[in-house]
Amino acid sequence: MSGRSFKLPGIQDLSKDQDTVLALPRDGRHFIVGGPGTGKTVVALLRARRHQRNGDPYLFLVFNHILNQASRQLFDAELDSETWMRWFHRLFLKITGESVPKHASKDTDGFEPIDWNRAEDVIDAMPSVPDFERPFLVIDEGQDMPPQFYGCLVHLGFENFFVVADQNQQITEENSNRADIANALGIDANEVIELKANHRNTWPVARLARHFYTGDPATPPPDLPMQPKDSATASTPILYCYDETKLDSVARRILLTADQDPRKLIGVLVPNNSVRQRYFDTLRSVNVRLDNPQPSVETFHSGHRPELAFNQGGILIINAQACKGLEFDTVILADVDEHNVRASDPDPTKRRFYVMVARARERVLMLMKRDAARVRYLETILPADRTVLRREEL
Amino acid sequence: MSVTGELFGPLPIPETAPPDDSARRSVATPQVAFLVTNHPNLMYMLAAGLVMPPAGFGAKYYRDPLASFPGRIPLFVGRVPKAAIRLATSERRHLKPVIAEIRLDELSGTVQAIGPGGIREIRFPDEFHGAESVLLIPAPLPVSLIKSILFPSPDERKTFNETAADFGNVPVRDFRRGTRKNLFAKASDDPWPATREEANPHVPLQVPQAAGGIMAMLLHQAHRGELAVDACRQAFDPYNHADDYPGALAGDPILSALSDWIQSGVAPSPTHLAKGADRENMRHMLHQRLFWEFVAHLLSREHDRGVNAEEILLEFLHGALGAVDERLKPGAEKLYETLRSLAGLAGATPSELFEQRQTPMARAMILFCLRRNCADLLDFDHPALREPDWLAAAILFGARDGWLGMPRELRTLPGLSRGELAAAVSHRMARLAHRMAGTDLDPGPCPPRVRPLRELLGESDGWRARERSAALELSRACKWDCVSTRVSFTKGEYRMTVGGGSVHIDLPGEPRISPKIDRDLFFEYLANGRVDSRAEAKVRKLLR
Repeated sequence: MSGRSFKLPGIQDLSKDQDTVLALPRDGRHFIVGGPGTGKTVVALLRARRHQRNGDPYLFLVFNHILNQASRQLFDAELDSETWMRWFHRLFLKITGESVPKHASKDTDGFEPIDWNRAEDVIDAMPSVPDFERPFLVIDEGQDMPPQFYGCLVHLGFENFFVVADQNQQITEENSNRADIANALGIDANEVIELKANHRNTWPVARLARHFYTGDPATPPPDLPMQPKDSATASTPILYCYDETKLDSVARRILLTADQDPRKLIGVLVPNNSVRQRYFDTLRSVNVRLDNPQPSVETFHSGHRPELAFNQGGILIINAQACKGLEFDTVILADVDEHNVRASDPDPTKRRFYVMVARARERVLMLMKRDAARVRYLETILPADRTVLRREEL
Repeated sequence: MSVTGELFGPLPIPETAPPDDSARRSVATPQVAFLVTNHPNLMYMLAAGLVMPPAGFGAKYYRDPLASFPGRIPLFVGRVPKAAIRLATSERRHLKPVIAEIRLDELSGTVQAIGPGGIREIRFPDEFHGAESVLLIPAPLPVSLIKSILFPSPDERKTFNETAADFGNVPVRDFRRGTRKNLFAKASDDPWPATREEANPHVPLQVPQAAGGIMAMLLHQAHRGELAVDACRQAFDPYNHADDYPGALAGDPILSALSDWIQSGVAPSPTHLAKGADRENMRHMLHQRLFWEFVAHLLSREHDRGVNAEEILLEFLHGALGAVDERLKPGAEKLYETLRSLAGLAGATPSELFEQRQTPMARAMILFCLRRNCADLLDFDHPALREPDWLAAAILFGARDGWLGMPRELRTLPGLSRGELAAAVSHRMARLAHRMAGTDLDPGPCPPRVRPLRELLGESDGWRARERSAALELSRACKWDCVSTRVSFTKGEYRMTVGGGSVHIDLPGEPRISPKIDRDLFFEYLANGRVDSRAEAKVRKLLR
């Protein structure tokens, strides 16, 4: 089954702003910003597809391995894509003959961040930049690459950039803001194209996402889709409270949901690894009679890189931090009571919820353990309005 | 002026003999006229199958001459004004002009014309004098009247083709495209708009769009059985009298109203129930009413982007429950609850849902909530679903997506000529719009409908040689085991040898080999199996 592969949009599905983006010249530096669901990745993939049709050398750069897998699988032809860091390491070695300079690791995982100042020094010290093929660069989630990355590429003679970004979805410490990218690429503020219309989410999902929006004027939140006549809609996101000892029965319902359309992808987004493992084990082991073969249940975490099938339906259980840039038909926020909410500064948790909720194309469901100890903290960030988030007992 | 560039593809519609009206068409009557617009607007119209006013574009309309006389299509006779070209590209910097050459040779009816004396109403073509520079045709027109698409330069033609390839529903290859530099370079200095008409007549477009979607979907489902073939025929060329309905169609609560809806776009009126009406009859009428009223409700909410169509269904049913007869209310409420439950964590498999709800209306509505679009429905299969269920679902899905929402692969069938189905659909959509608006515009002879494979193969009085060959071809290609073969030997003694993994019989003369097809089994396979597209193309050619 490949029901989720990238389908060309209908002409009615793209906004006028997206049309403007598609009409940008093939050459040059282009920068597009927009909130989640505004169709940034769609225009980036269409751009890559056009390069591919024209036989141009191009490269689709993404932040991490999981986004690389998702982009490749959703594309309808073979996508020339890489994670930016892997590509940059190889490029640097090829051009300078040296490895990318790094700082000593400060983390227990041994990750050594790039020493960008020294990297720039090495490039500056080169008497001349050698001749090599510089592909058209199409960069998705460009806010997650550091500003020096763009600076180095410009120094190395790259001319053609197409960058899409959303400052409200930054997930790294080294990320770039809107001004950083525009400055590095030499793009005037009035040449940055803003995508505003929400193409992914339905009104109830978009409204819930808006509740968690903490505000950053650099990337405005997407416009809300048109409001239905009746604001208390049937597809209003639901918060289910369940008995902690009955996770089996929750898992059965999730499997039945997957069985209703095996081509749809359900993202179960979890607050931590222990919840991820608990849901993974339960969904893999529980018995339920289904119409279709048991849906694929996969998980992903740092250091573990299975081939995930984003172009097929099933259930993908991932940590909240790993979900950015992905899209699911249904998003289930599992055990929301285990998210840390700092009373003094709830914004980081709200931003996380904003990103998680905005991943959903069709529906958002939340699960919360009944009588969980930390519920009262969580309640401070959840909407009290039942027309925004309905409550039900399981 | 001659077309100076390369032209691609055949004309979009099969040529049909024009009616013999040469006597009333004066020498001055133009054979073609020009619509000035921009690339995205024209692509949108090609996708929608209709040349239409701004209201048909939703949020995607870019200012162009179509806005000058809302509800009318301004067609320039001879030279086009520079001002019209400027207007078509005025809204955004990236817009490029394009001109659609529209055939007028078979069009007739009351139109407005702009001439030296201003705007006047004329009967076209009889009252066309020759001095008129613009025709204002009541909208919409079928895109099958587009003779060619003209660009000022090969580069702009290339840009158009490249952009169209980014979309899944812009069928540019169905149309001739060429370069005609002078049409743009030597545009006139006439002002545009020369005058303005304030009236903004309502042009029905949603219902015709839905009708186009329904035609396509019923054609794609017409392999399912005789009822499906009848429904498809009715969608394209509706019966005028209820008496003409085949029995099975007349007995189906949903399909029995299809003909009326496709001709008028109006849901059947609720029928007053006589006291003592039997329960089955009541249910029949309730389902007919709820189904078609929902179609109307869905179309009235078409522009509510971001609202799930499933949401609209629930909203409709919730509102309709109050008017349901008390005796039937529990069933309707149960259906509402079933559909509502689909928005949360599921509690049942599709099989269990279909087991609980067995009427075509209920099952079509369940499918409507479980599958997102027409392509999804056509990919789905379930043994519990019966022919009327599939047809009811095809109507709901066709109405939801409309012809505009059909991806390119659903706008044709293997073996059809390029643009053949699109021409048949677009012409009928335009006719329906004019019927609903009460105009007398006649866009010309209707291209013949596309006949489903089952109809081509399914003559009731048995198969002729051509159909038998086609059925054999299809059975072989699809590996359907509905063929048996009788080999008739003449009297004599035969030698049998075994070798190379086969048994060989050597005999004098030529035996008669008669393949026989089990027709019932063949049609069962056709109803439920997947037809290989190359085989279908070949079979269509055999049966043409």
